[in-house]
Amino acid sequence: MRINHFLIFIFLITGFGCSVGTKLSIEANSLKYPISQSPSVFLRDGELANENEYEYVTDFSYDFKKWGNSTLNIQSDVDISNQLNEIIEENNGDAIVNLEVSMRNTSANSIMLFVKSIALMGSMISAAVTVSEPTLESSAFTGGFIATYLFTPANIDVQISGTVIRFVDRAQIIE
Amino acid sequence: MSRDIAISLLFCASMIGCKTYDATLTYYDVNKPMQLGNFVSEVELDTLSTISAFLIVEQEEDTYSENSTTSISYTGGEYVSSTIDSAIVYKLNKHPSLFFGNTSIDLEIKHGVKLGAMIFGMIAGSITGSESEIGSYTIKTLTQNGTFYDINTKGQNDEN
Repeated sequence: MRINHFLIFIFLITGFGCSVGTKLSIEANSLKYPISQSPSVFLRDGELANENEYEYVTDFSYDFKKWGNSTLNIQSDVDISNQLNEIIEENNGDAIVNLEVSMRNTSANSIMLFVKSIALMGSMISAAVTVSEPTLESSAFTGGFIATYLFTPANIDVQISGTVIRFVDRAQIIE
Repeated sequence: MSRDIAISLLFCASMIGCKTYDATLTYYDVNKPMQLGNFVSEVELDTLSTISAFLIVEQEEDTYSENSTTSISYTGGEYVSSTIDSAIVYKLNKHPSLFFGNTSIDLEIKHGVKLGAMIFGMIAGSITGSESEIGSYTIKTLTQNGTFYDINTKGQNDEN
């Protein structure tokens, strides 16, 4: 039973405030066409195009995964301009409405959480050993565990979806 | 000894179990454009304010343990807090001249384990003598960034 008690004790320690995470910024800095998160679109001439002024062409969605590390506050930037431009051009559309951004956790993050907990546990134990009996090996183990703890990554699944539209009166589009 | 190891492995395996949840930003009820990224306008627009609003979805795994005579549960659940409705949606739908542009979206996910839920799960498991899920949590934060513009500026100036 000692193994169980030891593991329970270790997980109590490592579970306290132990988490993995990642940050991601979604931008679109080189769009050729209007992309709206709502059902209406702002045109270059200052006019608004509502639902009765365009026709639906097709719905689309695509997924991507991004890795990062919130412990070191590393944020990733993703520019989705090219993908959205290509989707509109492939479908001969004029704009995108109802753009949605979805995110979800992944199973890999649970594994990463387990790895990070083990790394935290290992760094605490090996640090205690290093302090009591300093050796090159124990120092190396401590450094390895701390590095693993700091650099354990996490990922995020992102889905971009929306509807490609075509204006009923295509003269509305000012090139 | 082998029994201890097997139980320990089960304990570790319970940490790995993961549910997935989705969090989505949708604006079907907004009657004004919310234009993503940069855009070119041939009319003058007044920049009113740049704003960031968030949607936070926190999910806790339920801790549950039972045998034929005893059942112990701890209710986890989903907690949602948002400033998007009040900071963006309400303003856009209320003011006819507002337009939301230059939008971008920040996403953050945090997956971890809470000490309290772990202790409860272990106590529940020891009382009922059966496996108990260990509480973990996932926090998803979606931040909507953008700028409010006044789209009637040109028309009003012309009238004046």
